[in-house]
Amino acid sequence: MSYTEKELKKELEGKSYEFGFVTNIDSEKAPVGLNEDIIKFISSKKKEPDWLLEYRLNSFRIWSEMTPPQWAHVEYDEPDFQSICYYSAPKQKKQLESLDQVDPELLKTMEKLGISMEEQKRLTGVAVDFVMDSVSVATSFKDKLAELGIIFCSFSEAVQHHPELVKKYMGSVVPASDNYYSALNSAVFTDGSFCYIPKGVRCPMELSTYFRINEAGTGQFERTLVIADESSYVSYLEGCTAPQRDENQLHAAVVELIALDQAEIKYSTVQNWYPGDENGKGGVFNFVTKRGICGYRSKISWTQVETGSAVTWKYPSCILKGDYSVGEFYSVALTNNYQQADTGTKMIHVGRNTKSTIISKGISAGNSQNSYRGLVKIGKGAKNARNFSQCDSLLMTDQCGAHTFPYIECENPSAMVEHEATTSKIGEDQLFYCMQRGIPEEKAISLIVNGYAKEVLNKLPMEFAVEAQKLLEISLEGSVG
Amino acid sequence: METVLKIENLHCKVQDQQILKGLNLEIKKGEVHAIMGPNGSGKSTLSSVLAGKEDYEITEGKILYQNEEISELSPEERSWKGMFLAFQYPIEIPGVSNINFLRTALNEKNKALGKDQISAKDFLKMVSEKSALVGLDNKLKNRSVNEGFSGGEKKRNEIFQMAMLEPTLSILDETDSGLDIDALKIVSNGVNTLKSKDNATIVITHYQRLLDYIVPDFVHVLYDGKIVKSGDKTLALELEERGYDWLKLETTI
Amino acid sequence: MSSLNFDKNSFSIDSEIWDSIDVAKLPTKYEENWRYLKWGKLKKIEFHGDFESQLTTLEGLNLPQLDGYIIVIENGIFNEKISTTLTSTNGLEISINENNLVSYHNTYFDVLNANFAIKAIKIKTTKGAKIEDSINIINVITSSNGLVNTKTHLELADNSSLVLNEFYLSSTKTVNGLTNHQCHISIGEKAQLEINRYQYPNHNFQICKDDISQGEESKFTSNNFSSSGKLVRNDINVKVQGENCHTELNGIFAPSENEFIDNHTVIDHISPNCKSYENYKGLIKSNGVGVFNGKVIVEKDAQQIEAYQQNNNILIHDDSSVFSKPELEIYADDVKCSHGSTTGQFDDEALFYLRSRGISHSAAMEYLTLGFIHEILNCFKNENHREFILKQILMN
Repeated sequence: MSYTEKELKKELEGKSYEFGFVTNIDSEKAPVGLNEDIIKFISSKKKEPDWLLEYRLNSFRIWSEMTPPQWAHVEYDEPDFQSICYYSAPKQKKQLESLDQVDPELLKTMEKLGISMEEQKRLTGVAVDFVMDSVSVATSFKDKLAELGIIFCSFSEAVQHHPELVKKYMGSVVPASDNYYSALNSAVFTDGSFCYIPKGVRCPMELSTYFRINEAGTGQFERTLVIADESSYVSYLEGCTAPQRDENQLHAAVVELIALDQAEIKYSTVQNWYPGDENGKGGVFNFVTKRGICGYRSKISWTQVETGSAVTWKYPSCILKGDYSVGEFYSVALTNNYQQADTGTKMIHVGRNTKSTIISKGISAGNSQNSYRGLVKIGKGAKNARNFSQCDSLLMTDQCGAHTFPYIECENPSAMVEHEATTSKIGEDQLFYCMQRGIPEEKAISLIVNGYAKEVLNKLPMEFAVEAQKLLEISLEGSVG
Repeated sequence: METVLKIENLHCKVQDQQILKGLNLEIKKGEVHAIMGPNGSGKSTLSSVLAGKEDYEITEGKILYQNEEISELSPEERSWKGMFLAFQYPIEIPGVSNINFLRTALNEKNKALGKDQISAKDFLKMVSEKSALVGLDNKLKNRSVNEGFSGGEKKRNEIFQMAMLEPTLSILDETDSGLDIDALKIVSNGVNTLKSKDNATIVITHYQRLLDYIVPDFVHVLYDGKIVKSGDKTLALELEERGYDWLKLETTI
Repeated sequence: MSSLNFDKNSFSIDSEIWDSIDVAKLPTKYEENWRYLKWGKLKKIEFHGDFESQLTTLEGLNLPQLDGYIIVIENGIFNEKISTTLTSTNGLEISINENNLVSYHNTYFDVLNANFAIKAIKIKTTKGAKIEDSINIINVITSSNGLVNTKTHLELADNSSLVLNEFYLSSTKTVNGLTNHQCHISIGEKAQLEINRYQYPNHNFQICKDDISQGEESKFTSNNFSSSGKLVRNDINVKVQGENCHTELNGIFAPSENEFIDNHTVIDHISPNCKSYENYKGLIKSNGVGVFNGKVIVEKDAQQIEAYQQNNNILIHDDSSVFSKPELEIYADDVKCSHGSTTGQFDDEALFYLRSRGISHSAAMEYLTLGFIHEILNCFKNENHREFILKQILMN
């Protein structure tokens, strides 16, 4: 089989972002722009209680007083917040009772994304919540989970059916005033996922949410709230895609995790928002605030594989409040072409004997800029706190950049904090060795990069790890320097 | 017998330094050639040039592999055509399992040759057969390529890979360095078992010791970028006894 | 609100200069490079600029034995009586000139220095001159609440070499003085410069900034010992302009009660084939606060750079704290860069081991302290100075 140059190029272009399709679904949109009326519109659309509208309006006022953060090592044109549509819901005739009633177009979308719900229902133990343009459209396995007392539903449903939980915990880890984008999200969020695991329950399956921005000119502002009650366990997965569009789309999410005493939350993300084209046109601005709080002897573990988005600004964090609590952050961030990522974590040690581990693997290719930024803070009372951080960067070309900005703040003399970082280019000896064994250069690169990222990929649940590996391979295509 | 490799008047530069200065060599199927020589004579350069390492620039001469000029081919293309280099210092690739690495290598080769991919069952069968040949510890197969291997384990792993890839021409670059006598026997035994009338082997070594176990049909002495003397296995013994200095004298005269 | 207070009449400068000083503002904690600094203590003081020279001898000042040239700058003014005669022989020229150097007005302290530092010490070597005798600059403040601005200009010609020792201190009774020092250094091709800096201004404040530019194949070593000071801020900015350079920054900082020592360094690799090493050790006592912020930049096309950066800190007391921020900013791919940072305490096991051998707790602590800093200590080549450093460290 022989290709012409053009055909080959076309195929590769198509392959470079597999998820760049647009789904034709009627949607209901709010007028473009942002003001108190728009917020009232969103709130009334969602039939929200007064306290939530008040929360939104208050957040909006806070946001109006704030300015966007400037300290990140990224450059971009600030989005025009008045030209975004803050509410875009796929139009549905009535409340869905089961998956069978989901719009067939939507099901097709999910299949293209590799989320065949029917199949997942049968084959794997993954419960999926699907969020398109900020609105949760389908949640599977709800009944089965309900038997154990687990609540897994869209955020809007939680507001309607479990207002006491939402009211108690929403904003308790990431207050609206935390930063510019969390304030914006708190004002305009449309939906998201909610999860509650009761005391002593070990959630028997992975809970998964897929996020997708579909409509043009919209932003995605979802909220995720995961509450693991005492001695419970949950593993939560999050995946994201967006259609290929020339303009930049904004994604400003807030994720809050609450691990009560002796609970454990494992939160994994494979982020594959549209990164823009090879010239840096278009792509998603991914400005996300993710934070968890740990109670006594509890544990929060963040694992992220970041390959998408034009600009990423993201620091999944742990507040280790309870004594003996544990925070972990495992990250692979790959940037190619003109992507920019400023990502890392914050480990705030408050309680005694708290422990945190940070493993970050950055890979920069093309003309991209990739920064690790992480804070390890040992508070005065965090006796015997321990932290270990390892941040490695791999450079693929001489046009890209790899940066490491760790902040280590220690106010307790019994703490031990260790940070190590290396920056180097992909090993030419390794490449030659692979090629001598018959492995072509591109394949060899992806093999070596996957090996380099293995420590982190291993932390992902099985089915996600395979997907992540493929994603790294696709994202690296054409990156040979 | 059919010629596997023919090197004609090969001149080669590394970073502006001329290393090979008119090297000639012909190797036929079924043969084992030993290349000996003092440090800095160009032995490792020869293996790198044959395998197609980028930094080596051929300024003159030809490398004909199975009657085809291969100077312009990439390392992987040479590999697909059946050339194998056992590295003097095998490279570590963290996070990539030995098995996954070999499977990728085999599949790429099959793809290039238009053959079907090897099934998981056949592959695993092959792995257990071939690893027995060099007594490679089962654990090592699932570990990252060469990472944390001892010197001996790395060399055994090289021969194991050689067995898996079934090359037509194998180049063993100082495979004996860093091996104790038991490991040397195991490695040599592996090489001897793999030897057939359809393939050929180049053994690059500093010492005669290895040649007690892998008996060469020809011995060549490389000195200052050229082959200055060729002979049978007795030449190796003579070198062992007299060193290289007498040859240096002979060539300067 | 965010500027210092002055007794304006005590300064002999024109009123329009005050205008430019008055509009300048102290950096805030929202500026990344100043995030850990608090100006509270400084802002409470009314600084004056009216000085007279008091010192008639170096005795009574806490100094190690000095060899070579001695230049005493008291309250920013050259004290000729107790200095060696200025020289311009054997390839070395030391002079005190009008400060006519071009200044960069980046920060508040740049503005102060540019306007108040009227004279500058100028040190020049000629081509190929290997200066055997080291130069000692004693920068001493003897007036409480005094604002002292000083400037040094160092120019090493190609192939020359020089060792400079700088002492920053205060006389015993002086409190609340602020020394704001700036140093411009240019190192010629194949030239070698070593600077040993000793800071112990006790109950006073010090802001210190060095801008260094390195020519081809040059070597620059900066050894820093900061043992005390109410607030000490050091900026060392090295621009490695030429190829095949060697850059080395070493430091010990040991703030104790109510002290704050903030080290900021930037090594900017502009050209290929260079090596840089940075190693800072923090020993934090009482409620002292230490900061290490080291940044290594490898610019585009500056290939084949090896850069290593290390910061280790020991917190001795319950209230001690340290902020460590080792940064790498890399825009070239063929590089080997690494950094590490550790914060912890002395090994209890080791302490116990020593004590079980009959060594008293305090002596054991001294051993461990020595063990912790000796790597840096050995960078100071003068034996007298090493002893001096040890004495300072163990005394506190």
